[in-house]
Amino acid sequence: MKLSDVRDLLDTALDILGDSAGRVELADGRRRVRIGRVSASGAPSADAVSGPEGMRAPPEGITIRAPAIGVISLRDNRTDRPLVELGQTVTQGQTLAFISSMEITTKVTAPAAGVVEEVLVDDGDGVEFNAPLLKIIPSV
Amino acid sequence: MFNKILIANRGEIALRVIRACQELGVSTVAVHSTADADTVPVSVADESVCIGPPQVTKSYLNMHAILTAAKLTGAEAIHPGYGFLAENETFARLVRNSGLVFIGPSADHIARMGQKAEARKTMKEAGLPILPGSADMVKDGDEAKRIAADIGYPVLLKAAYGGGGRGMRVVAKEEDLGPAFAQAAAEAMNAFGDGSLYLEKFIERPHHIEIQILADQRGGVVHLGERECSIQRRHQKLIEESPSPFLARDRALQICETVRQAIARIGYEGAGTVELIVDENRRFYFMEMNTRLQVEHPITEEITGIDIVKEQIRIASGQPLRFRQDDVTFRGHSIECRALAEDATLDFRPCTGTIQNLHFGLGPGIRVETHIYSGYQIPATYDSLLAKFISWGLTRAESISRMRRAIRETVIEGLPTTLPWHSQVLVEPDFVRGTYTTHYVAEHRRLQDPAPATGAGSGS
Repeated sequence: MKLSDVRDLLDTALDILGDSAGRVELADGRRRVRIGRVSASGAPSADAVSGPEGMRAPPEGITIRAPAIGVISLRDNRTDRPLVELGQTVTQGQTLAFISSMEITTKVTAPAAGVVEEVLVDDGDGVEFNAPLLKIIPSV
Repeated sequence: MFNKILIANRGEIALRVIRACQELGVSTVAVHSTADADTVPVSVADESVCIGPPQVTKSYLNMHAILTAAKLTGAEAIHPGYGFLAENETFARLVRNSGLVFIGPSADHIARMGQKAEARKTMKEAGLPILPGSADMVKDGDEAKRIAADIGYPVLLKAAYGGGGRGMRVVAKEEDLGPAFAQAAAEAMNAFGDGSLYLEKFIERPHHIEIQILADQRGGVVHLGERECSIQRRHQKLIEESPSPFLARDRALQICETVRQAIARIGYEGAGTVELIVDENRRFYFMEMNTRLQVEHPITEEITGIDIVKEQIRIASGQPLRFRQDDVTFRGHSIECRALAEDATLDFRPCTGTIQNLHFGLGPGIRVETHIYSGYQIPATYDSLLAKFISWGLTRAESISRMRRAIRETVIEGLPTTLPWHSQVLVEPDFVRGTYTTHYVAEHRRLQDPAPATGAGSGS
């Protein structure tokens, strides 16, 4: 197997299994691998962790990325109240935003429980696919 | 003229369209998948929008994402390039229903030409000859004999739901037709679950020749001559040239004019290409029509001096053609070689890799259309086209010698390409004489043998 094949496999894994932040975590009893795509700034959006459990670095922010291109809504469309606010604790699967494109609305949900550290977009912004939207610090 | 155009494609053709827009003073939006973020079209366009992950169904074929990108950026028109959504009637309709302009023909023309039977019926009514054969499926050996007696031998039996040569038989004389029919029907039944067969005239030494058309919204239609595209394998063209070395000028112009009139009758708009099969006696038959820009459009541009992409954009913006048929002149000879990321010695197997060292042989009469650069990683997800070499010369001989020289100078390292194969073709006597048919690649398999190690690309 060539390096380019490994790269293609990783890409496929990310496309099929990746969460809304574009990350995949694979783990068994002895090792754990996290993969993610390099963000526009050139820094990896997720670090690769391997080795036995218990050697983890302190929790770091998860960047939640746009699962589709469209206009982002950070408000609940019934109450018009913000879906989440800075510093708020969210549960895994909680709705953080909606992206609408041509009558199709895609929900953006929290991949893990945590605290909203940063909101990187404004309500009503147009966002491209994979654009960073929010950062959360996962609860340990 | 439009203020802003979105290009719904990638690679060399996205770059080609962006360049045309820039020359027209139109701003551009490149859309791309995550895999194509670091590509040349994305960096030279005025704006770029990521529309999805690498898989084409979620990015370059994702109509909603593309339309959303157009809305978000305020683009007024969409150029589809070739491939992807270029001949998708649903997309053409969606674009127009969203209040945008689709740079191409109407959705109805795309739909009609997209179905083989419907296209042939339409063009037959418009005055083009179609390959003689059974209009419908043939019931049995006796009916086949009646039709064959009518159109003359040899004939070809073809599975209605087939492909890949199965359920196919060439029959040279009547006494062989009965048994061949039974065999082909059984084979088709086995392979496709349906033994239905068609019968048509078999062309032994066919040429694939196509006619470039431009038609405006006010009934103005011109042809830009023909392209000889017989050098292909698995229906992918490898070398194209214009004019065709097979047709005398008066015959070529006669065919082009017939096609031009037929296109005028169907009320077509935009650029389009009519593909013909031409037999040994230079009789031609309509095969299909491509309702879009072709990969090989540059060779026509070289000999006519007309920028087909800019004309497409002008036509879509409602402008009339600025020239009539009599204003179109042809000068010299042009050849295109498609450098593909494929290994000819392994039956043109597609390859991936990273371009490590890159130098294009340019100089007089050479144009290279490409999006690759040193360090560019060829994704396995997309097609294998690396670069198009287009040569122009006053004569065919000069065009060939310039192409040879350009390829000899060229260095593309990091993965196999088809250029060593191209260099061998450019010195092969049948090609040099211009006597070749669609059987060329199969009849010159030895050109696919591994070449002795020499300079990059040369292979001689």
